[in-house]
Amino acid sequence: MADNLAPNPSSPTPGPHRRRGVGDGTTFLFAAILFATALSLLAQVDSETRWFAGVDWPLQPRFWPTVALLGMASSTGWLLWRTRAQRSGWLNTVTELLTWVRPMEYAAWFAAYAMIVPWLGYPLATLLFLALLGARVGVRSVAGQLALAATGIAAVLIFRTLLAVKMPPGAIYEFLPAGVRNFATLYL
Amino acid sequence: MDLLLDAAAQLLRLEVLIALFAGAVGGVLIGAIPGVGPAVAIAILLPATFGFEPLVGLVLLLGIYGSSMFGGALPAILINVPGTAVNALTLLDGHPLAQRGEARRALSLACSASFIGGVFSVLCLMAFAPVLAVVAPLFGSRDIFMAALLGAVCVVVAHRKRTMAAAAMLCLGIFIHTIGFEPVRFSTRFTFGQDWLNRGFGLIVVVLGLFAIGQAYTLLLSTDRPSTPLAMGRGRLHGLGETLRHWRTAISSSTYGVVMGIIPGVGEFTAQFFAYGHAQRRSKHPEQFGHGAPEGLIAAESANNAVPAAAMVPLLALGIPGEALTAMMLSVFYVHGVIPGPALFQSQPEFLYSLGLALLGANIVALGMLISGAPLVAQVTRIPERGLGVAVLALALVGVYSLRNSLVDCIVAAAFGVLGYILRRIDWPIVPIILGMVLGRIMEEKLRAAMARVESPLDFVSRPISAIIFALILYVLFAHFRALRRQPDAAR
Repeated sequence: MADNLAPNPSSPTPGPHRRRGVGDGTTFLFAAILFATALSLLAQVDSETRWFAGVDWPLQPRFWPTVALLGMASSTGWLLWRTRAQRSGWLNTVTELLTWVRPMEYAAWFAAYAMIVPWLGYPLATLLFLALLGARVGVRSVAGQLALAATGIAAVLIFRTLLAVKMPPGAIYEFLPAGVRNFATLYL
Repeated sequence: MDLLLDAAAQLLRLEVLIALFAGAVGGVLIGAIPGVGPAVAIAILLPATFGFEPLVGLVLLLGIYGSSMFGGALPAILINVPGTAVNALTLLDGHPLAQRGEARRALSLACSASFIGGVFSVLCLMAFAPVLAVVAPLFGSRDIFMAALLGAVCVVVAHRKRTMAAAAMLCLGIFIHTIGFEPVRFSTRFTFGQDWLNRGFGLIVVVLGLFAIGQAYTLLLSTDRPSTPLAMGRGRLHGLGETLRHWRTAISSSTYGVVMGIIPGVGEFTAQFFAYGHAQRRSKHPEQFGHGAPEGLIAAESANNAVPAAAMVPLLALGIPGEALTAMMLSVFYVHGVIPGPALFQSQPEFLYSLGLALLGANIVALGMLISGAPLVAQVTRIPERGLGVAVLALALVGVYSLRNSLVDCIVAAAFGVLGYILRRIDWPIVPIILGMVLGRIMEEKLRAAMARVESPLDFVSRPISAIIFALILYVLFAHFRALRRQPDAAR
């Protein structure tokens, strides 16, 4: 019974909406991408690493990358062979690939957040990020927005004020009065 | 005894006690929120701990690690969703008990079993410590190389039905570790002429990306789970006495947890799986398993909570992490110049006992918290997933950005987050990537050091310790292939 249950022993957290990879076209698709990547990198071992004459093969800088890439190619090649009967049609493949790129929108949000921190400072950038991204994913109620704002304030207090985690001061702090600017630079 | 007293004295400082309490309470809450888990929390907090003393930082992280499985039982029992992946077997028997109106009984069984498992494991760590202090210095470069190789093999075979996927991810992790400037021959590897790749991919950036940011994407793209936790009922310590009546199950399951924790690359899930199966075979009522058997719940919870302390053994003794969370903690050691390994046992033995006592303290705090405040803690299961995803993404920035204030690190982490999302979606393992990065580095360093004394490949197994480890590797592989042959066309 426990055997049938096992989702993924090394998944750090469970996801109720995961799909099983083995037995459907997703394993074949991802294995194919990895296999192609491993082969293309293997082809570049000579140009991307140096060979030192007179040095034993296990001590060459290219030894471990080659071992790793051969391992990747072998294991993904085996998976391609084992799941070749389960590969999906073109439409399903494209649909799946589009699903895989969906998080890139949130990656862009994250990058934008990182970019505005040096300008607005960590507290303002965080509150703005939480409010806007929250609204984007549907957290639009007053209670939801207040909860996100409270999370942002707690994060500032814990990480910046209390733990003094290293964050750049915002450029906007230059417009603050001197005393407030010093406080903001140190604690916000 | 003097060592224990010194260790206790180190622990009884205000900042250490605050870290212990914060870690334990935070761990329970984090474990209780499905979709977060200790890996996310540790990944986010890791850079923040670099400014602390080593003991304070490690106690905070160990507190989270040791208590999260307590909290993870809550949603497993109340809403049939495991709070952390290692609570997956908890819901098999915990939720049916709750459905029968015995949620409080199930929770106190789970907490008590977790406590017994945690205490048992800490006592084993402390009992082994003097032995390790003698044995660990005997490990040379070849032996540590073989131990790391054993870890790599174990992490692959531990993923039953996903062995080749785990192997691919392990190799990916080893490859990622090699990218960048190589300090021995002063050459670059796979940088493609890009300056930003010269530094390579930092372990913490990859960990934050795969675990925290990847999970954030998963939460953001999910539909909010409607959850109504089952009523908890009355009674506080009902389960403790019952757990003690099943002491054989608790102790045997805890033993599985300790053994699996010590073996690098194995971890909680395998421990829980074996313990559950063993308990079912030994039970007078095996048919009840999966339908609310108290022994099933006790087996699962005591096994998974026995792993954290045991996983510290290979980390502290040899510098080889037992699983992903201890791999993350390795960076805290290195940042503070505390190098785990044989020398640590000789130079700072009280430090190790302090960590053991800290884990013990975390177990006590977590048990007390849940016995007294379980209904309150259970409210965190109601947090909508998408709002949670927004919060996790915002907190992940602190972890990444605080390392070097580098936008490149943030973009790299965001990209690894996409990989983490894809792997979760197709149900491929993520932990082997992290272990591949760490074990790959260890194997490369130790192989380089060992080559000075090696004239032929047989020299790698000529030392007694490396010969034993090599025999273990062969046995693990043999057992794995034998199990595969017995299974009818299991997906390999």
